Amino acid sequence: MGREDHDPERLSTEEVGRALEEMEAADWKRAERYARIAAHGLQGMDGEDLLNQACTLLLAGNRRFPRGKKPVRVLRNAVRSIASNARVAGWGAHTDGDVLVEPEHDNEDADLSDDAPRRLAPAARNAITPEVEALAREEFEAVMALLKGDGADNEVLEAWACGMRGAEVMEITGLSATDYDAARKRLGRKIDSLTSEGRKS
Amino acid sequence: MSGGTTSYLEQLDRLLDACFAELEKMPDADVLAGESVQSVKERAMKRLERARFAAGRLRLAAAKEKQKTVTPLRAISTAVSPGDARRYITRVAQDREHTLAARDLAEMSDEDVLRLYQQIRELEAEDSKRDDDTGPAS
Repeated sequence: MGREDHDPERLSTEEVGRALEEMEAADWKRAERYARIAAHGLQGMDGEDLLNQACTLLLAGNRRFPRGKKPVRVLRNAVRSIASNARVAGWGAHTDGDVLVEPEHDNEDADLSDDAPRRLAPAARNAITPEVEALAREEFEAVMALLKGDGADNEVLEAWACGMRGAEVMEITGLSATDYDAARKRLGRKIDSLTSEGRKS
Repeated sequence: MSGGTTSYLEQLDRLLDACFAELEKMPDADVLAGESVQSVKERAMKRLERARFAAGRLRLAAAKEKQKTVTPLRAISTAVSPGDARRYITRVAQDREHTLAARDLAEMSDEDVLRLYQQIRELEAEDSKRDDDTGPAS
C-alpha cells in the first residue's frame, strides 16, 4: 500500500482513477469480453467479478499500474492474473507466487500485444500435479468446445491455442483476410455469449 | 509436463491471450457489436464506483493494520510520567554509551522528554521487529 509514492514509473492512485475513467467504451467492452471468457470454469466468479477485483486492486494501489501503458492492457493483465490464480487455487494447487503465467521476458506489466511465448512461473510449475493438469485439460477442451464452430473457426482456434496470431494464422490455415475476419467476428460473438457457468461450477 | 512440453494450462492461457489480441485488433464498432458507447461507459462508471468503495475499504484495513503496531507505543508515551521517561532515557543513554549529558536532559521540557522517549521506544520496536523478521543469526 502506498508503494506508488516511491515509484515514479507507476501511476498514483488518483492517476489510476483518471486513466480508468477516461478509458474508451470500446476498450471497456474488450475488457468485459476478455474477462467473461477468462472467468469460464471459475467457481463463484464471473467476468464482472474479475473486472471489479482488478479495478479494486489497481485503485487501492495493491497492483501496479505502469506509467505509459495502455489502460486496457493493464486491466487485462490484472484480470488474467486473478483468473489464473483463482483457477489453479480452485483445483487445489498451492502456489507461492501471485501470478501464475508470465511472459518469458517480463513481469505483470508486459505489453501483451507482442508475441512473446509464455510459460508457467517456476512456482506454478511445481504446483501442477497430474490431477491439476487433468483438470486444466478438461477446462481447455471445454473452452474449445464452446468456441468451436465450422471448419475455419476450429482451425483458427487451434492456431490461437498454439500461440499464433493474425497473419501467421492466415498463412497456416490458408484463410483470406476477409474469411479470417469473419471467423474472428463469429468467435467474438461466441465469447460474448459465454456465461460463467463452467462444468465445474 | 516437464522440459519443453506445453501444459494444458499454458494452452488455455494462450487461447485466452489470442482472444484478447484479436479483440484489440477488431475495429471499435465490431467490438461494441451494436451497444451504444454511452451504455458501455455508464456500466464502466458504475463498476469504478464500486471498485473505489472496495479500494477504500482495502486501504482502511491496511491503515488499521499499520496502526496496530503504533498504538501501543502512543499509549505508553501517554501513560508514562516525565520523571519515569527521564530515568528510562538516562539508563538507555548509559547502556548504549550515548552522550546525553544529565544537564541536557534536566533542561528539556517534559514535552520534549516524552517525545524523545517515544522516539526511542519506536526505534526499539523497529529493531525488535527487524530481528524477528530476519530470525536468529546462524
